[in-house]
Amino acid sequence: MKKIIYLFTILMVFIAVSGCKDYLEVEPETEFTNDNFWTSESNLESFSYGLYENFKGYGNGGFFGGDHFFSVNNDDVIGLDQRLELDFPTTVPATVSGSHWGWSNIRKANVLITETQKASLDATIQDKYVGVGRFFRALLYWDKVRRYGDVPFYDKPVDPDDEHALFAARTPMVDVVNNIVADLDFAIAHLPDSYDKTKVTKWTALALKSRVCLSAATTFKYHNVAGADVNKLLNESVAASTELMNANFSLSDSYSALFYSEDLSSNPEVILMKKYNENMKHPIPSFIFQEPFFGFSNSAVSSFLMADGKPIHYDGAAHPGYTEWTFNTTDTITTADNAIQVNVGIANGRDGRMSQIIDTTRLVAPFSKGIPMFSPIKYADYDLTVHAPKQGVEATTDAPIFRLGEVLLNFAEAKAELGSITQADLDNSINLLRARAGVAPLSMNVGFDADDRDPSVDALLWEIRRERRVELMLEPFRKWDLLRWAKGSYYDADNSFYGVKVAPTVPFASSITVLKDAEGHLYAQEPGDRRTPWDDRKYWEPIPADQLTLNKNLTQNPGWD
Amino acid sequence: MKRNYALLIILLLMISAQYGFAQSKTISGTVTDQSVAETLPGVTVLVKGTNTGTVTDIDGHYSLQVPSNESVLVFSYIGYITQEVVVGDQNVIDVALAPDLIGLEEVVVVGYGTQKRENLTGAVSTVDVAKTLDAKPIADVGRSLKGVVPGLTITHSTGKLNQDAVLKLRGYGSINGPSDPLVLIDGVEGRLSDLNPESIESVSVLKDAASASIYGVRAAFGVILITTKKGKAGKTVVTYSNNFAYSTPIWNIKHAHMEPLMDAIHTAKARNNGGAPFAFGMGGQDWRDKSIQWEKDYGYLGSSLSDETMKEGRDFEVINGQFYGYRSWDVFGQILNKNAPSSTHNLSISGGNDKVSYNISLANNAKDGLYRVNTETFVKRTLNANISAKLTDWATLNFRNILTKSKYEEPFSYRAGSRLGELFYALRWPNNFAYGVSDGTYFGAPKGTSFISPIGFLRNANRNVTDRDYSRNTIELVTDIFKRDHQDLNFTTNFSYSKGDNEFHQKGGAVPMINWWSSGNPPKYDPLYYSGSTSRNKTSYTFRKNKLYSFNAFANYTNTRLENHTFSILGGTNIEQNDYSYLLASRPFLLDPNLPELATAVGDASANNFKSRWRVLGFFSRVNYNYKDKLLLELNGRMDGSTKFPKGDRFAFFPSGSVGYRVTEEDFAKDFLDRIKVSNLKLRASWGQNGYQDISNFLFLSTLSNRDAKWITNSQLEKTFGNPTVVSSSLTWEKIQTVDFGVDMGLFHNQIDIMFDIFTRKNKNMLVPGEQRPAVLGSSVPKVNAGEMTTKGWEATMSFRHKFTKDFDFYVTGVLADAQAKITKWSNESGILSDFYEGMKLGDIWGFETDRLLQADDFDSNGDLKDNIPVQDPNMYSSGFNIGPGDVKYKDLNGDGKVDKGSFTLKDHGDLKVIGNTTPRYEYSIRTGVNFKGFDLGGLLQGVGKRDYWGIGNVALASYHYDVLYDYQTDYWKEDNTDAFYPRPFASNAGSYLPNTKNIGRLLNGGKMLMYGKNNYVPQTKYLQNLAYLRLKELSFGYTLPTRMTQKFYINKMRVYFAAYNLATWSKNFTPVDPESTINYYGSLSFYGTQLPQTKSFSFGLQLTL
Repeated sequence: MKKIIYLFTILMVFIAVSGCKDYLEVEPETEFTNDNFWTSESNLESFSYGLYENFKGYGNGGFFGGDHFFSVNNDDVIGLDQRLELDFPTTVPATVSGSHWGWSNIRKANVLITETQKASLDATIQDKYVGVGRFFRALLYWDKVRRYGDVPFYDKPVDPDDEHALFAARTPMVDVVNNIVADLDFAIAHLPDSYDKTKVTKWTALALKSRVCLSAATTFKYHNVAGADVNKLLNESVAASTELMNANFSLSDSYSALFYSEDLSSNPEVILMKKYNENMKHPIPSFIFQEPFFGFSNSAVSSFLMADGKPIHYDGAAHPGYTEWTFNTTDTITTADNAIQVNVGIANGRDGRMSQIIDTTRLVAPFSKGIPMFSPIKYADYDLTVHAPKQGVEATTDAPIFRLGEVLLNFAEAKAELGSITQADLDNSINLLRARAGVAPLSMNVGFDADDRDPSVDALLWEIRRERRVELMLEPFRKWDLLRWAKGSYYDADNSFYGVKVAPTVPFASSITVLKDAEGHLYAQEPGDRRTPWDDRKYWEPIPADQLTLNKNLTQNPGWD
Repeated sequence: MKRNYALLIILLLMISAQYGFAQSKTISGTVTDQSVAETLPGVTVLVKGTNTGTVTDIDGHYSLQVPSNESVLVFSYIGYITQEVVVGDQNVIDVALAPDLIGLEEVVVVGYGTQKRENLTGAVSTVDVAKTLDAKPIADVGRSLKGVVPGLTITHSTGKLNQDAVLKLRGYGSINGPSDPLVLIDGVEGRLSDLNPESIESVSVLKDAASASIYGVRAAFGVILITTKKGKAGKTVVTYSNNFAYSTPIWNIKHAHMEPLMDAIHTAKARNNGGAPFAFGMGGQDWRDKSIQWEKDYGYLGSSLSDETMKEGRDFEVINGQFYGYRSWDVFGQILNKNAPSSTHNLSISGGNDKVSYNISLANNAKDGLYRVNTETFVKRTLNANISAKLTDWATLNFRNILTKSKYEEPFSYRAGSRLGELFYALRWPNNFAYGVSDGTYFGAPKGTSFISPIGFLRNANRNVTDRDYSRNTIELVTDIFKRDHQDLNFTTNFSYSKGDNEFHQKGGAVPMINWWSSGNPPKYDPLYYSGSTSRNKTSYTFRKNKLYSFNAFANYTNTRLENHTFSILGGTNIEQNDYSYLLASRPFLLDPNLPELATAVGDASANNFKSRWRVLGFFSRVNYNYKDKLLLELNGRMDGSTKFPKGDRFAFFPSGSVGYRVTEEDFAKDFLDRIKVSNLKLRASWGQNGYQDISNFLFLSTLSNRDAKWITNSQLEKTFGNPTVVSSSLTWEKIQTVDFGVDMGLFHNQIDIMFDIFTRKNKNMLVPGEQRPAVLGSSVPKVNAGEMTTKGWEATMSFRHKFTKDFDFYVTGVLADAQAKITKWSNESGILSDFYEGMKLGDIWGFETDRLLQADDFDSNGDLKDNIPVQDPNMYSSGFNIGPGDVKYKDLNGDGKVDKGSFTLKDHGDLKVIGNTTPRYEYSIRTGVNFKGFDLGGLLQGVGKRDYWGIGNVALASYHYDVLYDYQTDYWKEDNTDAFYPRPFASNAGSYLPNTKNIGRLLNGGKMLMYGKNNYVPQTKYLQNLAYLRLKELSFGYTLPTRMTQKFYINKMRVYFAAYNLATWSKNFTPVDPESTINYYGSLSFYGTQLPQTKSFSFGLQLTL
C-alpha cells in the first residue's frame, strides 16, 4: 500500500512537471490572431468592410457624422453659429482628438495591402484585395492632402519601433498625389468591373480618380504648388471621366429620386451607394422637417438659373419679369408648427432642381433659433405632407456616394481648365444635367454676363462652377471646391449671410424673432456676431501641437505657428 | 454525480471498518479553569499522536482508555492554553487549564500549512468566526466581514440582493485589473458568496508579501484564506440554527413640499432668459397654484389618498391637449418595501471515530428585496461535506465538497444599459408628474424615449431569473512519509475541480402605458396606449461558465532534534487552469409577454460567445527557522509561469522573507517588561516581492476583434474586424513589493493585546500606456511596464478581554487602519490633471474653494459684478446663465483677480486645489460585548473616518436639474432668504467645466473621476459630500438556556437571540443618502444616490446543539 501511494504521488508530480513545457502555450479560442486571420478570401472581404465605413454617406446610424447635408457650413446656408468656426479649426488643436490627424484608417488600408500580399491565396484574389486596400489608401490620403497639404506617406503599417517612419518629415503633396494616382491605377486594373453598387469596383476607382485628379490639379494650379504637372492630372481626370461616361451609366430621370429612394441599386446614375435599412438608419429627413437647423442663403438661392439658362441678374439688370426673390404672404406666420405653409412668389420657369433642393413653399423656424428661413427639401420626399419624416434616426433611404452627375461636372471643369473644352463636351456633360432640370443648354459663348460672377473667373468656367454648385448643393463638395479654387473669400460675401427678402407686409407673430435688414432680407445672426472673417491660413488645417512636439521633423502649416 | 458521492462514502466507511480498537487502560479526572477554579465542560482530551479522545462532561469529568503508560494526554479547549500530561502510573489525572486570553495558542492557517500565532512573522489577521459569521441573517460572507479585519475594505455598490462584495486589502495597488485579494477556500480560489457562513471554520487574512507570496501570481494584493469545518473524532454532534429577519431600506429622501418645489422650478426657468416652457409642457402660474392647492386638500405626498387611480379634474387636467399634473405622490413609498422578510436555516452533522470523521452542513437562505411590488427574491442553498478517512496510520484521504445553488429573481430592468439604477427616474422628476394609474394602466413616458416611468414599469415587468450552480470537489491524500523522533516528513497532494454555471434569463416585454408626455413641440396629451420601447421587447439568455482545475503537491519536513533549533522546509508545486466561456442569445418581439422565450419570439435572433483560458504553473518553497522560540525566520520563494505573458517573460521568481523577535523570551528583558506589565512583545519585519497578473489574456498577441461594420451589402450589417492590435515586444509582470514592520504586544497578563503593522507597498512595474508615439502609427501604443504606484498605510488592532468569573466576561476589540496610494512614476510631462501624474494621491478631487453666495450689494446698478469681486471664468457658466445675487462666489486663491482653472495642469491650475479625496481613510470598528450567566450582549460599531466624494445629480445638489427638489433642499437663496445653504436655482447645471480626472480600478467609471457640474455647481468645497460615518452595524442579545435544563431533551446547548443590523448611523453629510451605498460604480454619469439602498434589519433566531 505504501509503495503504491509513493508511486502514485511521484507519478503525479512527474506528470505535472513534464507537461510544463507546453502547458503554458494557450491560444485564443474566440478571437483571430494576426497569424491565423489572413487565410481566406472571406476574411479579407470582412476586414475590408471596416474601410467602407469611411464612406459616411448619411451617417453611420447615429445623429451626426454623415457627409451629405452636414458639410454645409459655407456660403450656401445661413443660420449656423459662426460657421467658419464650425467647419474650420480656429486654434491649433493640442492633441489629435478633435482634429483630422488620425491615422488608424490609413493603417487599416496598409494592413490589408501588406497582409494580403503575404497571404498564400490565389493571385487574382490577392490582387483584388490589394486593389481594395490601395483604393481606400488613395481615398484616405486624398482626404489628408486636401486638409493638410504635405503629409508623410506610408506604404505599409508603421511599426511602433520604427523611428525612421514615426519621425518622418512631410512628403510633398505632389508626390503623395502621384502615389494616390498609382494606387488608383492599380485599383482600376484589378478591381472587378461589375456593376455591384455596394462594393468598390473598377468604376468606383475611376470615379474617385476623376474627382481626385481634378481636385489635385486645381489645388496645385490655384495655390501655385511647385513641381506639379497640372495638365497631366487634368488629362488623367478627363480620361477617367470619359471611361465612366462610356460605361453602362446614365443620368437618373428624376433628380429627387437620387436623394429620396429606399433602394438606389437600380438607379443608372449611381456608381456607389450606401445602403440603409432597419439595421442602420439615418436622421436626415428628420433634420429637414422635424428639427431644421438652417436655411438657404440669398447667394445660394440666387445661383439657380431661370429656365432660359440665365441667372436672376445679368448684364447689370434683373431678369425680365422678375426683380428679386421675395417671400410674400398674407398668412400670419407663427411658430406653432415648425413648418409654415405659405405661398411664395416664384417666378415661372425656374431651374427644376431648385424646388427639389429648396423648399420654396415653406418657411421654417430652425430648431434652435426661432428665426424663419427657407428650408432644404433635398433628401426628403418633396411632398412632406404625404411622407412626413419620422423624428429621430428613423430614415432608411439610400445615400449616393459616387454618381455620374458629379463625373460629368468633373469632366466639364477639367476640360475647361485645360482650355480644350468644346460644345460637344458641354452637350455631353453640363447640358445633360441642365436638360434634366429643364434649363436651357449652355453654349461655349455663354451669351450673358452674370452679375454674380467673380470677375477673376472666366464666364464659361463660372457657369460650369455654378452648375456644380447647384447640382451638388448640400452634398459634401462646396467647401472643398472653394478651397481648391482658392476662393475662401466667398465665405465673407454679404449675400451668403442673408436669406431671402421678405416683403414688409408679411405679418410675423410677435413671438418670433425676425431678423431683417433694411431691405427686408432675413438673416440669422446679428452683424456683429455673425462672422469670423476669412483668413487664408484656413486653406490648410493646423497639425496638432503635440505631434510637432513628438516629431521634430514635422513642420506646421503657414499661419498656424 | 450524486451516486458517485454515495459510493465514495460507502468506500470510506468500509475502509474505516477494517480497523478495530487496541488495548486499554482507563484514565479519568476533572478539568478546571485555573483562573476562577471552576470546572470546564467540553474540553477535548486526546491521546497524543492518535485520534483517540473524548470530551469532558458538564462537570468537567472525563474518562478515557489509553494504550500504555507512555501515552501523553493532550488537554485542549478554545481560549485556554493547551496542556500535555504523561500518563505514567496515574489513573486519575486532574488538570487546571490556564486561560489563553489573547489566543497565543491559536493555530493560524497560513499558506500551505498552519502556524502558531506566537510564531507568526508576517502580517496576518484572523477573524473571530463565531462572532462574525454565526447566527446572522446575512448569507453573504462578504457583508459579514465588513469592518472586522484591519486593512480589508469591503464595499457593496448597491443594496441589490445579489450584489457581490468588492474587496480591497490595503487599498488599491494597480491601475490595471481590480487588484483584489485572492480568496482561497480550502486552498482553492472561490467566491465568498458561494459559501455558507456557518460552515466556515477559520478566516485568515495574509496581508504582507511575505505571508502571501507562497501563493504566487494571484496573491499580489493579499490572500483571504478560508477553511471549512472538518469533522472531529468523538460523538456525533448535530447543530441547527435559524434566523428570521425583517429589513427596511435606509432611505431618508422625500420630495419637498409643493410650494418650495414649484417656486424653485419657477425661479430656475425664469432666469434662463425665459426659455422653453418648463417640465415638458406643463407650466405657468396655474400649474403651480393648483399643485399647491392639491397638497393642501389631500396632504403632503398625498397622504390622505391610498388609491393610485388618477382622477381627471382632481389629480390632473388636459388643457388644449396638454397634460397638467397636480397630484403629489409619495414616489418612494410607492416603490420601496418597508418590511422585506428573510430567513436562514442551517443544519450540520459532524462526528467520527479514529478512522473516519465528517462534517456535513446544509443551509437554506431566502431573502426578499426592497421593491414593494414585484420585488427581488434570492434563495441560496448550500451543501458542504468534509470527509476524512485514515487509510493507514500514515495516510489520510480527505474529500471535500461544496454545492451551492442560488436563484435570483428581479423585475426586468427597463433601465438596462444605462446602469443609473432603477431609482434614477423616481429621483429625476417632480412628484406631481403622473405616477398613477387609470383603468389599470399606468401613465408613462412616450414610446421611443428613454424616459422611464418607474412605477408602471417596475410593477408590470416580467421577472428576470439568474440561476447559479456552483460545485467543487476536492480529493486530497496526506501521507507521512517518515516519522522518526523529532523528524517528520509528510506529503500532501490534492486535486480540485470547481465549476460555476450562471444562467441569466432576461424577460423583457412591452408594457402598455398612457402617453401623457408626448413628444412634439409643444407636447400633447395623447390618451393612446403604447408599449415600452421596442428595444426592451425582447428576451435573452446569457450563460457564463467557469471551470477551475487546481492541482497541488507539496512536502513538508520538520526537524526538532536540536534542542534550541527548530526548522521546517516546505516545497511543492501548484498548477491551475481556469476556463471561462460566455454565450449570449437574444431575440426581440415577444408574441406573448407571459412566455418570454427565444422559441416564442418572432424577431431576428442574435447570438455571441467568448471563451478564454489561462494557466498558471508554480513551484514554491518555504523555510522556517525558530531559535528557542525567540528568534523566528521565514524565507519564501516562488517561481511562477503564466499564460498571460509572452514566452521569454513568462516565468518569474518572487522571493520574500520575514523575521520575528520575541523580546519577552529574552531573560534580560523579561523582568523589565514584567515590571511595565508587558507580558508579550514580538517585533516583526518582512519584505517580499510578488507578481500581479490580473490583466487581460493575450495582451502580448496581436489579435483582431470583430464588430459590425456600418456598411450593408444585402440586408444585414456586414461583420468586420478591427486592426490587429499593436503589441509590445516585452510585456511582463507587475512587481509588487511590500515592506512591513509589525509589533505584537500583550499587556497585563495578556488581557490587553495589541497588534500594529506599518507597511509600504510598491507596484514597481506597473503596466501603463506606453510612451506617446506620433499619431502616424495609427494605433494605440501598447502597454509597457513603466509606472509605479506606492501605497502606504498602517493597521492597528487592540483587544481587551477580562473574565470576572466563569460566567461573566467582557471583551472589546477595536481595529483601525489606513492606506493611501500614490502614483510615484508616470510619464505626464505637461502635468495635465486629467491624466495621472507623479505625486498624485489616488482619489484626489480638484475643485474650487467656495467663498459664499453673492448678494445684491455685490452688483452695481447695471447688474454687473463690482470691481472688487474677482471675475469668474465665463466658461464655467451655461449659456443663458447671467450671474446675479444668490450665485456661488468661488475664491480667487492665486490672487490674480479672476477665478478660473488655468490650463488645468500641475503648474497652472488657476484657483483649483485638491479639495478632498475619495479614498476611504481611517476605517475602524469596535466589537464589544459581555457574557453573563447565560446572557450575551454584543455590538459592532463600524465606520470610516474620512472620505469625500463629488456627487452630481438632483440628490446631491439642489436644483441640479431644475425640475425636482427634496425636503432637505428647501434652504435655497431667495430675496427673503439670502443666508441660504443652496444657491439660487437655475435651469440646468449639468455639463462640466472641469475635465474628468483619473481614478483607479476598472470598476470605478472606467477609471475616471467624474467632475461634472457647471454654474453654481462646479466641483467645490461647499457641496462636497462628506462620506465619513459611524454605524451601529450590529447589536445582538442572546440567552443560552442552562444545560441542565436542556439536557433532559437531549439538547446540549440552546441559545435564543435577537439581533439588529444597521440600527443607527451617524454622518455629517448634508444629504441624507446612506454613505455606504452612494457611489454608483458603473454609471456613465454616476448620479449620486440613485442606487438601491442598504437595509436596516431586525432578526431573531435559535441555535441548537444536540
